[in-house]
Amino acid sequence: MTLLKKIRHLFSRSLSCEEANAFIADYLEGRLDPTLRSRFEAHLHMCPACTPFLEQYKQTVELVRDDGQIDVPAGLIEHTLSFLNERRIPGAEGAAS
Amino acid sequence: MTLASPSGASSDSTLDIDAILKGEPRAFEVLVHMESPRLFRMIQRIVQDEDEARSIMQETFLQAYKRLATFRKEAKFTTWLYAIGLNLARASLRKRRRYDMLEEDKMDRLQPAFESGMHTEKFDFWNPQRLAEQNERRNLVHAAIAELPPDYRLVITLRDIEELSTTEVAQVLDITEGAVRVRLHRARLALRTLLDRYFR
Repeated sequence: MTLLKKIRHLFSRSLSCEEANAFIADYLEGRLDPTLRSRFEAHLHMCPACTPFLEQYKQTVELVRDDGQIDVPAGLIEHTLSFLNERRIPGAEGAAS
Repeated sequence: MTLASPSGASSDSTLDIDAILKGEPRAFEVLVHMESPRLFRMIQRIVQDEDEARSIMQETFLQAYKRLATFRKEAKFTTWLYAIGLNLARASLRKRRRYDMLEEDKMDRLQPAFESGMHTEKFDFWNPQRLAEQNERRNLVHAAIAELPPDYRLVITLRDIEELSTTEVAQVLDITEGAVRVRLHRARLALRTLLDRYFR
């Protein structure tokens, strides 16, 4: 097989699950070139594992983005300005008093 | 099918950076008001201790003020500020010996497994009812993020929660954008594994 044929073969065959896995983030961010995107989607159509896996990955990202669990403690800014004022950092003086 | 890309919503555009760099008091005060909440959340994700996070955040502003002359305008001012804070947070973890290099093994175990290029596991769509239980869901996600090793928690926090751009995350962590993408992908895959037991 000539080198050109080998390259064509490599680019025409469908992706494996492992290869598709490596492209998930780029696929979701729209960063794949059209050829690779087509090969990725072709793999999804024929693979019973990767379709739910991709959906779970997307849901993971969405769940993380929704995780606003950390509350900022009351008085955080005032305490910080006082802390800086004690160390004579300009800008902390007026607000902390 | 495309996820919206994070907005990279750090706030340099609303800060008077020149005034901060000149040491103008009011400008630094505005900086503290605007950046304290986000900086606190980032540091808290790493150290997971509210008092310590508060202390490190205060030290971050102090260090930033003392080092204003070293800011080179090659990155956003807020990126520079976050880098100071997160380096202090990581140093604090190391001091407490909570920065375990063996945790990379744990991350490997949480990645999907393949044999001859194919998934070895079967996957089903997650249960919509479980996903809809909002209070429990938030606790589970929060706990799963806390299970990740610090470097992975950090990249998830910066990119997916605080929505910094890949470029900004790379500058904050002083790694390449490619390394940010790889680390973020591994972190998301590990989180998917951790959440799978609850949502399947």
